[in-house]
Amino acid sequence: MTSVELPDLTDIREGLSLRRQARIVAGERVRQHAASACLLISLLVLVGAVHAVGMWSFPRWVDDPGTYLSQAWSLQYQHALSPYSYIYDHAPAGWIQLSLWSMLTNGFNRHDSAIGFGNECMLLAKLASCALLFALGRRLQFSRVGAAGSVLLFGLCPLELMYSRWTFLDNLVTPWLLLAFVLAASPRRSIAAATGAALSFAMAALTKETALVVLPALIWAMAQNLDRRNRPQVVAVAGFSGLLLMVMYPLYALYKGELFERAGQNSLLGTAKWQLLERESSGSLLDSSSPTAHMVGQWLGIDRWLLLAGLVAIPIALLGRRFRPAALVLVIQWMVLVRGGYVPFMQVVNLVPWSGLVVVGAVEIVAGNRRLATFRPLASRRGSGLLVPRVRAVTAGLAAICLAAVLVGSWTPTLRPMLQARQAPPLWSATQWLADNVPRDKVLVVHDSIWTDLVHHYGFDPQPIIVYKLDTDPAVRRTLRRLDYLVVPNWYYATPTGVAKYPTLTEAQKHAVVVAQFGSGDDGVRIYRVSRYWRPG
Amino acid sequence: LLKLLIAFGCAAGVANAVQAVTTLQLNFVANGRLTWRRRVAGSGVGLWRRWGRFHVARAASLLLCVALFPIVASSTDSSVAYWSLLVVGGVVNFCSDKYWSFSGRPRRRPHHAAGRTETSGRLWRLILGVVLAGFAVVLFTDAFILVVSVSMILVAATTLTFQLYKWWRPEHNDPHRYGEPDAPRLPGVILVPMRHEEAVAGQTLERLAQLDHPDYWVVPIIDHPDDPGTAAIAHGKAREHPGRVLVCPYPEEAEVHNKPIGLNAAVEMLHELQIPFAWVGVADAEDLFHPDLLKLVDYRFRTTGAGIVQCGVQLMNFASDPHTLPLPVGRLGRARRWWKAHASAWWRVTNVLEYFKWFQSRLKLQAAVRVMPLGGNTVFFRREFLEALHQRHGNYWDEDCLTEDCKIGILASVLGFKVDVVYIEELVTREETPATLAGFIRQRVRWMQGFIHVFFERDWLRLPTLSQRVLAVYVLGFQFFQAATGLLAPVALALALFHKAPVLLTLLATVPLALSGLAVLLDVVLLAQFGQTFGERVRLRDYAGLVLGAYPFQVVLSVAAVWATARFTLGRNDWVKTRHQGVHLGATAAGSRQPALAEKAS
Repeated sequence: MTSVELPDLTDIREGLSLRRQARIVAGERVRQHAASACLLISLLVLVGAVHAVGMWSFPRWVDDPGTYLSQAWSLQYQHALSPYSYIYDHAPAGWIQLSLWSMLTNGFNRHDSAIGFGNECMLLAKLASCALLFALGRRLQFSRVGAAGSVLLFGLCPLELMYSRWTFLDNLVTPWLLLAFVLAASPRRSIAAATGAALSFAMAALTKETALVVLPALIWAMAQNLDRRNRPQVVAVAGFSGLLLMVMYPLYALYKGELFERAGQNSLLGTAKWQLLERESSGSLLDSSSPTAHMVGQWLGIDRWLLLAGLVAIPIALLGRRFRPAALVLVIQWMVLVRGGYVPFMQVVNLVPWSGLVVVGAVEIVAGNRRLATFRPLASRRGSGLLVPRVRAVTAGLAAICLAAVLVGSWTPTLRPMLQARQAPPLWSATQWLADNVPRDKVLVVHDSIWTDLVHHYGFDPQPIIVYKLDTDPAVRRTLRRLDYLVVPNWYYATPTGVAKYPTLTEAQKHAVVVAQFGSGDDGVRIYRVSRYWRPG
Repeated sequence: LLKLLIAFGCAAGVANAVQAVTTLQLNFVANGRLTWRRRVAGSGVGLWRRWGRFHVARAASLLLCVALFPIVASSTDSSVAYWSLLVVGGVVNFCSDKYWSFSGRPRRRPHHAAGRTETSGRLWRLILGVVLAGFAVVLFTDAFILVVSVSMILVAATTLTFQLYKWWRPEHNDPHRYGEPDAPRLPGVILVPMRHEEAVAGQTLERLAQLDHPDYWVVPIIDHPDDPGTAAIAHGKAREHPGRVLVCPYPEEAEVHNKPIGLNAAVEMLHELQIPFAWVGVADAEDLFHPDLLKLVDYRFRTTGAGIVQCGVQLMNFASDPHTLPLPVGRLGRARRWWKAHASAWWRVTNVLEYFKWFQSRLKLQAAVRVMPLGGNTVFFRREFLEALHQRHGNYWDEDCLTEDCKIGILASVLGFKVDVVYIEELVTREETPATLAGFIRQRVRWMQGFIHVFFERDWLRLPTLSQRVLAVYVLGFQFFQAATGLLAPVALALALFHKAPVLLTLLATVPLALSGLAVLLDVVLLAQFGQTFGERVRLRDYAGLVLGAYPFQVVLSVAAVWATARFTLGRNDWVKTRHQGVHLGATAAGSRQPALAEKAS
């Protein structure tokens, strides 16, 4: 009798070609994640729709989005980091990303207004954040329903909706930061995952340097996921790669000779010193008369439920071992408000996604999801009494239902005007008027958000002057001979801070007449024509 | 002369011309009488023809430089242009002198010089390439920095990926990943080529005869007339271990002496004597196999279905500790040994770590993608594979190749045989680094030249998939890429800074240097692991040697790469053998520590 000798392969796949192995693995993963993918896609459609409907008209146009978009435009068309001299106010990766997307998709030409392009970018960032939040929830061992819940909390919260529609750098930080945590929790524990986490975090920090405050939480998350068998290599490679990417920013300044502070020159360290030490503090949240407390009050006015639920959930969330680093992120972001330095008003963007995650995590812990609390695979626990788990499940279910009911009741009326706003923004109407009525060689002082449109779509030459640069940029001051039109919202003239911050503008307004008017109140825009006989001092 | 002429009232133009002509003639005479004296003596070219050629060549190089000067000067500073063109002119003059003006060959080449023609053609192409590259650097510095940086980043990143394979995922480094070997079943043979190995032969054969396997032969291959000392030892061992040790004579008729010829002869002998075997292993004369090695090899052959099992080889003597080196005879022996240990530790430690990385990571990954230059020993071949090789190529090991081990690995991939790589710390075969830096460079030159040889033999073109062929180019050229990257990384950054390249480009040029830094950092981590694994004490000065020696080591590799390329171009294929000192034997007291380690592990 003949016998056929077959090698008994330790792993049957080892004998296959790499390509076949890859195909098999890919197929397996698709099957494994099919249910999650279906759920996630429907969530993204819902959140995307809520985000997109009405995003042109609501919220009002503010200055930061315009600044970043003008810088993105400048990178694409002028190959410079800013249309003015780059002052190292923020690390540049944020608008580099905007610019890359525009280069790839011809973004500034597809939209009537740069703000429209910015809105599109924010929609994409929101969708990416939602998907990553879902993935992070799953990797932290949330149930599928739980992960979906956190996405809904994050995606439908009116406060988040308002702030995530604005083109803020923080909205670009969110997906990078979430990606870093998703990769840090990778079950494969490979060098690639850890390196990816470090690089994502570096991208977050390069997008907006404030992301650096959550570094301890990320390190904790990565440390939790280390394996003894490849720990030294993972730490060395991931740490080095993240650092290398971040160091590119100071190196850039160094190569340009702008790292160290020198008189009469922009410098990274000089700006950093100003941001960290010299910038006017907005006070601590604990001081009820401080600007920070006032700002938080405004946030809570839009939606108090998610932020406060997040705060309440923190102690419960800290019970789950696996979950602690994520809870720490939220703690750190609240600490920023308490610390008493300068707090930008979009800080809430950093609170909401983690609040959503922590709230759901707390509910899961109460419901008895033991996988959140341990890193070992669970043994089945049959016969140890079903009463306690049931009680817990019922409690958690009730809590979740109550929360859902409250949120539906509270959020629906707030969301409705955000989705139904259809009025054209006054600054947009002003742009149209300028395009129709003003010769292109006039010198305009304009609000940040319309600068890019005036330059890119309507070809104003000399380029209009962004109002903030009028008094701060020496190069602008040096070449300034006359001013013809002033186009900024009314609050620039109406509030004491505006008057104090923009002396040249205020002076010019005294020698000007209104030629057109759009909207009313502080956000309304009056277009002034400045007297021919007045010269800036 | 110039000053003299002007002092005598000569016009500046005339003085210059007289000076130039005189210099040229003196140059010609000096070239003919001194530099190329030997060639001129036996040359078939007449004096006047030489003179004509010389002047034409000089005029051409002058014209070339004059024509290039404004172009080069416009893109760089004029003094840079002046000096770089002066260098280029010098090189062109030298080459034209050597290969044309004073070449000593008449225009019509005789037919028997076909080999030389090929060599000189290669040389010409090489020189042309270098000169063109030089022009490219000067003319398009920014583009050059860009291209070099991007390719260096690619090489550095892939190098890191390859060397990190073992730690890429935790399960790659699982202590039980190779399984528990059961009772061995396959009969086999271990071939041990030996030549002038009296120092280690007895010990090696004694150890090889006592491995834990029921059915195997140890076959030392010895050139009897040439090497009676080793032969006597081997025959002694054969008498001590009948049925285990069998001496194979090196073929008397062979003119040259190299390893593949011996191995082929031994396999032929096995066939003639009809000794049954299922696998053939190769050991070097100083290799002390671990007693459990054959058991594992046997097990891996049966469980993986592999055609080749490559087991780990590990260089051991990294330390700057003088006691790891033998005491030299003569005056001031201790001082000399101290100096030698400290002055050589920097390259030995990197060399040791190279093995640590190769056998644990690189080879694993290369086995997974199935493009595989093998190591020269502790490698085991299935009989089926050797027969397939014989059927296809007429013999087993390529007798003309400097790195027959590399070639046989590539052929295994071409023939579709799988290679299994096993690195278990306790079972690795311990070896020593070359005794001197010069020895190390010679060894590296031999390998690199062998790799070029394998590359130009084009067997790799027959690999089944495109990705394998691409990888083959990468693997065969890897040592050159690595040397170039290591050498160029700081140069590119310096060039970018000096040349005031755009900031983005400078940032890009920084990345390869940073990745070299990461490689050094990983080496430090690995050295600590090496010390832990093998119970060797790693001292601060070893780390210092590793870090400070990183760049010089790249320089050494680059020198070896250039030398290997030159040797290959000139068609010199003679064997440069690495000598064995037996350092790794002395320190481990004839391998007594190896069983101890094994006990600790089990």
